[in-house]
Amino acid sequence: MAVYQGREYFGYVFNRLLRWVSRRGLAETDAGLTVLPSSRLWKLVAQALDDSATDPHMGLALPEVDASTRVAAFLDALTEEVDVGVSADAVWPRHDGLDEHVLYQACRDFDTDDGRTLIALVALILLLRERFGLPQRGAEFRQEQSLLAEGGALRNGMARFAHLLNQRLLRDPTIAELAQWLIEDFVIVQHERVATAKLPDDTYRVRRVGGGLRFFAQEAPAAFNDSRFLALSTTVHELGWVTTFREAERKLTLSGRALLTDADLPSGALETAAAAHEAQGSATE
Amino acid sequence: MSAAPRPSVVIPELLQGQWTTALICTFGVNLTFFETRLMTQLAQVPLRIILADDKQLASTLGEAARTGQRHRLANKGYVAAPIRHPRAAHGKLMLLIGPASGRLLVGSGNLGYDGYASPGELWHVFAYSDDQPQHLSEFAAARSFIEGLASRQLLDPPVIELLLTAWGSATWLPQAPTAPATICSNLDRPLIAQLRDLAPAPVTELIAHAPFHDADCAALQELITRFEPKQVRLLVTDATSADPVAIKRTLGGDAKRIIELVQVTDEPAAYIHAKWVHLIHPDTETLLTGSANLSRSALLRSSFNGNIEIGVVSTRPAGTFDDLYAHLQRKRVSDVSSLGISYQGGNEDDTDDATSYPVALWSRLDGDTLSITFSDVMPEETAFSLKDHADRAIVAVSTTIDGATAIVKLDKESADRLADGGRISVRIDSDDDRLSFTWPYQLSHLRGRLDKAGQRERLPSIGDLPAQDAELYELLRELDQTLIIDRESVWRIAKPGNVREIDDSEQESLRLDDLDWDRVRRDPRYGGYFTRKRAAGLPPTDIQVVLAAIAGRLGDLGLDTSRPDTDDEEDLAHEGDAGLSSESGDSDEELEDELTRRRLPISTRTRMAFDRFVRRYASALSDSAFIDELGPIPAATNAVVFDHLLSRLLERQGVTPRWAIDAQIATWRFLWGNDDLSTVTENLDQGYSRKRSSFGS
Repeated sequence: MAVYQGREYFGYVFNRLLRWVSRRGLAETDAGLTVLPSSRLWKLVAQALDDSATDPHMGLALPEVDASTRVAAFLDALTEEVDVGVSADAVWPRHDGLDEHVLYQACRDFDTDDGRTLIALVALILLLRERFGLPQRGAEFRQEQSLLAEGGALRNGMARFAHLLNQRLLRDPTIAELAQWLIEDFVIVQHERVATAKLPDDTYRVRRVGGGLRFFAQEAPAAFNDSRFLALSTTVHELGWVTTFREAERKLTLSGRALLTDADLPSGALETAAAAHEAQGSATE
Repeated sequence: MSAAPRPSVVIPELLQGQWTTALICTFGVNLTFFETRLMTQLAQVPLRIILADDKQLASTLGEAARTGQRHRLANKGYVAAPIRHPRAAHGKLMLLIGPASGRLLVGSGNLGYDGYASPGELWHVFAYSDDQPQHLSEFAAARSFIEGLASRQLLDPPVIELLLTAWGSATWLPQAPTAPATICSNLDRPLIAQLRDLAPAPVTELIAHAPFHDADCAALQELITRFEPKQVRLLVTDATSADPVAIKRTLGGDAKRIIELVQVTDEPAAYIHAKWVHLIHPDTETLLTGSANLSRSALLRSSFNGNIEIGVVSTRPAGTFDDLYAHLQRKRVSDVSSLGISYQGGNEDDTDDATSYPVALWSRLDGDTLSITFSDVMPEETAFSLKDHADRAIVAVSTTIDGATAIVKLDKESADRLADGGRISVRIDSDDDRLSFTWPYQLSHLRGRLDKAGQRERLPSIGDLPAQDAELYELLRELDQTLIIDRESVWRIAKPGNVREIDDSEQESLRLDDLDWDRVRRDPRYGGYFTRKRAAGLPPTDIQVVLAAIAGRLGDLGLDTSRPDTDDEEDLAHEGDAGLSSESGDSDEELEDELTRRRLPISTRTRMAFDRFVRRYASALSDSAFIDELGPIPAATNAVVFDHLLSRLLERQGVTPRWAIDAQIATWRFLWGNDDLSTVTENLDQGYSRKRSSFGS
């Protein structure tokens, strides 16, 4: 399950970066009327990172950094706070201001395209690398390799990304350099590739033109790709094992607790459910 | 077809036709666009070659390698090859050639969505066919341009081999123009010199636009100096790369030298990448369009010390080129500095520095032999580390180095993996900092596509008809492309560049006098009916395949119709085919019909298509003038094929009985006659007639 959740965060980072680039690009180009030189985008990114200290805190406990901060130093500060050493299937210890879910929620809820959001997204990707992408942790995820490698020709796969990120970190990049790499290779290139494959439907949010970028006024949503989770959670609720997932304080029912602890339903539960169904069926005949 | 350039060309819409080669010259290259948008339409074209600026192509392929894109078919199903020029290889054209026809586009767009489908480009479109030969010189000039690249050793040797094949399949295309052509390149002479030769004096006005200028506007200055226009109108956009100070200096304070900001009226955000120099004379106008920006390398120099450029220069009566501006909105600019434009280095005309270590320039895979040619002579003791697209090691059995070329013998498993397509990463002495990528040319596979071209995969299944409706539909398409059954079939052969579906009501309007029967009789489809004098050893014609499949139901008769194995993904699919599936309906009604057909189940669509095919055939049987022109052997052969086809279709309810039974009776009457009609077999020679008598008795 941890890998599935990690993959959700992983996908979210790139979708949110596309949203950041797309909206900032539109703002810089009169809603797409002009072409933005690529160099100007990288200046925007660096400027946003430099200004991040004055951005709203978003309820996060991010260390103060700027464009020139080394990623290694930033990563050290993160891992001092967040326990990323737990095993794959253990419950991840929470951190009120810095764990993956807090970072995700802050980016989602504040939905602002500022430097602090960029830093939160970089932090999120670095924490995921610590949990899933370090070579020494490969053995823990041997069974999930196919899941980590998923992506194909058109999508970013976690395993390949982690390999490239590890190589990139060997060059001791700054946060601005890392952000530029993420945006260029894993946001713009990937987005162009997917949008081109969808032609003649025009789904471009950004496209490289000569030495610049053209932006298009189309929504770039960023959300979990959690349709399976929603379907399953609805199913377990409808089976009567848990109260609705819409409630923050959802609870297991007696049957659900029995299933969790005994790995089986209470004796007679299925027969009771079947009898109810048969009674309902005969009433409608 | 192309007196004036067209600003709103959507190139993917111009690819339809029966071509043997599609050749693209481009500066920038978006292979994803090519593979997803153009390949399907060029699926039936055996030879597809992209020639791109070497540094741009290397950048594209490097990005693909960096970001995990395989491009499995690059240099396997199509060619993606560099033009190795020290400066920018900037010419842009698309040349589509078939056995008797061609289409040529020369313009400003790079291979990609913006270059091929946006209103910010300009393209000249030329067509050639037997009855429209007026642009033959343009086609010859395009060929001469490509051959000029080859003769200057700017292309890789495997590409030069394939180009020879391409020219060989278009015998109508001369090596060089025999008459003046409007297409000109700077391979030997600067474009500005050629423009000067062709443009009459005086020049009353010069209008120029390009997205890229020199830092000092030298090319603009030279245009003004050479042509001495009374007025100058410089067109710029928000994205023009030019120094406002240099523009002001070049134009000076003369009130007759003005600057205008241009936008595409319907799409103000469109990037105007087109380039043109428009010279207006008292009674005529001269226009240069194409790939050349307003820069020294493009306009003032030959390829000896400049870029490689290609364009079109034409002089026409005044007003001919008015459409050039019809889609543009122009606004006078009093102070160019107010636009916020600037000269941006790293533009299309700039070149990058070479890498400091030897890189793999190109490679070739022949069975288990991989040869890699490097940019420099390699010491004999050099060790290579090779990996495939998935970063798996490639096992070399032996490696020999000869100058700049390494010959690597591969183990079988590695050779099989590489043959599946994709990149090879090459590390010299296992050094990650001395890494390069190469997509090996697989000539046997590329040539194999040529061998497969023209083969009809479904024809042998006519004996028992395929079980699946989709396959049955394919069979129908192939039959429609093989048999000459009515005037529509003839019209398609005679007008291969303008294929469209013809409504039944239009059949009569296709007058026999308008159909070029000499051309039809030269066509291989017509020749396929006549097999008696066919040389031994040649593969069977499609007609022979059909007849053998039908005869095969009677036992071991006829020809062996087996086909070579075909590769799944690189099959010559039928997207670009013309015939029943042609989707180039002109009117909205036809489009609606097509949409309606698409919504129907495949079984219904197939039956409707067969109904139409059968009606066409039956109708033509009563068209004695057509049958006379067609001749007895094709007519009798068609009757045999349809007699069989109708029986099998009726058995499986694949055709509406009303049409099928009428057609079958008409066929029998046609073959065996009745009291009122003479029969086709009366016109056959004695041998055929005897067979007819024995069948009829």
